Amino acid sequence: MSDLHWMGATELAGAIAARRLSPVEVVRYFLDRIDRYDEQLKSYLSVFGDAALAAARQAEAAVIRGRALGPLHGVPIPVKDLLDVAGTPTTAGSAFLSEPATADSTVVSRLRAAGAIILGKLNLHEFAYGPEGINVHHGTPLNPWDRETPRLPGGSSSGSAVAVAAGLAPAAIGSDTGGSIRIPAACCGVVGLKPTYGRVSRAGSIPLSWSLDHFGPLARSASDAGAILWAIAGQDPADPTTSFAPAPESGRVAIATAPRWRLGLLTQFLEQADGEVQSAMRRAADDLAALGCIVEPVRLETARFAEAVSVAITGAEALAFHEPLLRRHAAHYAADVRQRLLTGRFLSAGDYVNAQRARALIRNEVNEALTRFDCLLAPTVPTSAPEVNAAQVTLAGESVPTRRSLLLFTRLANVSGHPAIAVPCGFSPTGMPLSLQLIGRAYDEMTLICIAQAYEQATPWQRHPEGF
Amino acid sequence: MHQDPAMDDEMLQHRARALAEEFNLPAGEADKIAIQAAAVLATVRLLDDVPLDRAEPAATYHFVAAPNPRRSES
Repeated sequence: MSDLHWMGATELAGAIAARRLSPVEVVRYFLDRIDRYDEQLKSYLSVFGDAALAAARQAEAAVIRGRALGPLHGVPIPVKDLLDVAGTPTTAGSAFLSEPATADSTVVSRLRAAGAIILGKLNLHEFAYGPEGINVHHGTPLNPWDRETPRLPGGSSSGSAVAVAAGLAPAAIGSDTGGSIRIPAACCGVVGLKPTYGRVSRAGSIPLSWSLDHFGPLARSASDAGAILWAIAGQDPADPTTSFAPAPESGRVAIATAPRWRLGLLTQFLEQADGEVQSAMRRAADDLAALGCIVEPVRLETARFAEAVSVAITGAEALAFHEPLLRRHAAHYAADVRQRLLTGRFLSAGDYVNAQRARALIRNEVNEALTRFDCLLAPTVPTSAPEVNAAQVTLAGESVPTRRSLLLFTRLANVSGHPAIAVPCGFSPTGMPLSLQLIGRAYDEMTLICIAQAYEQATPWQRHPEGF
Repeated sequence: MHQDPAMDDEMLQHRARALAEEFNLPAGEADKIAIQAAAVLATVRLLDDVPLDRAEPAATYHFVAAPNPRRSES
């Protein structure tokens, strides 16, 4: 039992199905850890202790009766507090939303259908509008890799990443509009998977930007992320943007039969990263080549427009959703979020439409590159997790606002809609995790997961922070 | 079709003050909004360099990385 908190989601599910672990003892174990550590870590906004234990007892009874079990049977999984869980409020990390949801979101109902136990709801940057992952209302989750110098956990899914990294959950659900799954995964040394746009329903969630929002897993391994993705993926009549593309039945990967993947190293992103990230990326490229991959440099002419497109679209869509709320509750928003939302008023209708037109060009160029490569390779973020109070970071000799720096390499896949996975790829000299990002073909998350898993198995970067 | 690139600091501050008044924001917040708006507009103006003559008109399917498979099934 002593290392149960470092077991992955599928490993736990296997142990439960084989009756080596009881869902009740697993849930109790994680509840005890939350009690012990989360006052300091601040990763959870609410914990469903009684409901989770009741679900665990039902799960245990099903195991004993020999009933067919879902792929996540008995595994406790918390969700970002943007997703509705029936009977509980969806706060979005705010201080003023408190109405209980009347029904589960589609993601939550699919997790339950796969056998998962919803353990609680996780902290985030208010309304998912910030890559730093701070929260002035409920406290900022602590990046568990540095307890001496507070570092940003990354956001907006900060609670999701911290809970997984510190062993307060085997996996979690986050959302990603400009990088909000991958950035905190990178800062906290875990895996984060943003699926293809249309792969996972957003029904029953609070939006940030309808045409850029994605939900997906944060986990300890690529295969765990895959198993959770296949549990929540699929067409949903309640979300008309969801696709009928079939999801593989299993996230399991046959490495022995892996093809010789071709990987395009996005040199324009590599050149913008700081030295320690560049070194880690070159080492990762060498490791992937040693696995039999072919790694070649590639540049995308239109990638430089991704930031402008993302800023214009997010600014317009976020304001469209929030303006009525701001009229009633402006004083209750965090100042940084309120100011960011209101800058949307300075955008024109032409800016929004032209951003959508530019987006088509970016998508087409990424698609074209992915006819030559199985995936594109880039850093997830340009530095290790910055200190909490660092307003600027230095990149290639230039001072860049921390917020902008965190989003530099992740916005591209939101704008184009392609799937992307963040995977640990080393540590900085100060012991902070570093992360590589793989961007793949639309609706081909499986190739990303296969490459990421092969890389994980060949490298020693799946580690845990000390003291938890 | 787009924001006047010559929108100067004075114009931004005027609009930010009007917003602060409209939403009853705390004193001093208009200046912060004006600064952020200047940064946002500088970023968004990069769209002026996009060769949009090659871009298709905006449509729902632009939101997805590839045409939604249900299109070919219907």
